[in-house]
Amino acid sequence: MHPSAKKTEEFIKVYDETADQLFRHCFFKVSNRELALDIVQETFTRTWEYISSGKEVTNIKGFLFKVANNLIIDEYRKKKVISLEALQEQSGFDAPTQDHKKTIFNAEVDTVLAQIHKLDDKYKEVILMRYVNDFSPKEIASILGQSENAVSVRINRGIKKVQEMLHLATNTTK
Amino acid sequence: MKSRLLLFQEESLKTGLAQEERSEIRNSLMAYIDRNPIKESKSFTQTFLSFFSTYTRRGIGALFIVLFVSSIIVAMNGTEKVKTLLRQARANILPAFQSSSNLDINSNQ
Repeated sequence: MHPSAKKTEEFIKVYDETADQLFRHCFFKVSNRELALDIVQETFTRTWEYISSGKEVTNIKGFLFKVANNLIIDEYRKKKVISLEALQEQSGFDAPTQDHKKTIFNAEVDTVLAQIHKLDDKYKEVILMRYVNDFSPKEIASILGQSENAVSVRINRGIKKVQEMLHLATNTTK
Repeated sequence: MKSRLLLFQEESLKTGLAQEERSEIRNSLMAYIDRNPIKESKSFTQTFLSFFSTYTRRGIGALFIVLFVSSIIVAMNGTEKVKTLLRQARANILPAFQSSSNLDINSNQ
């Protein structure tokens, strides 16, 4: 098989294997299904653009998540400029909270997610990867390009923080 | 707390792309790949050959210019040489011719 045809086939295989994980990752970060879909598509397009220019990607999964994270950051920046009201006026945009309720019906789950979103980005990242995508600390470490130990420590600290926040939230509602 | 997180994990994992969404993105990605195929990376030999051919063309062009200019110079020098030879010839032959014609005149007399 021609090398470029092989690369194309491999890339499509990566799409089939990673699309769902990447979508979940984006969806739980941007809290908007349509936006998450756009980011997933853009992530794969940009990654292909990079590969097709002749550059080598050693850790494709890590690369995809990095591109997706950069696109999510871009979206956050855009959101700062455009007000939520203006976005709601546009057709096809749902407010994040409404979108979550569409998919996650369990109130308990919603509460946990709300607390996770309050975490610092560095904790939110690993917690979402661990609990939303079911990645092992080893996988997360390879995606983020960090040591497995550092990732495990961050996950534990993140869980503790969520625990504390949930206790606080439960106590205040009581 | 652990059970809450596990519940969250179970529910989260149910979230995914719908079949239509998945195939829609896949199709547009395939179309994009078709439009933007991989640019073949050149081997050393290919790079060398392309470099060589580019510079060969330029080299041949430069050589032609040099040849053209040098041929003009040579031609001009050649003309000068011919002119000098002719001058020398005229200088040597004409007096001889003139003297011979004088002799003829004298002989006729």
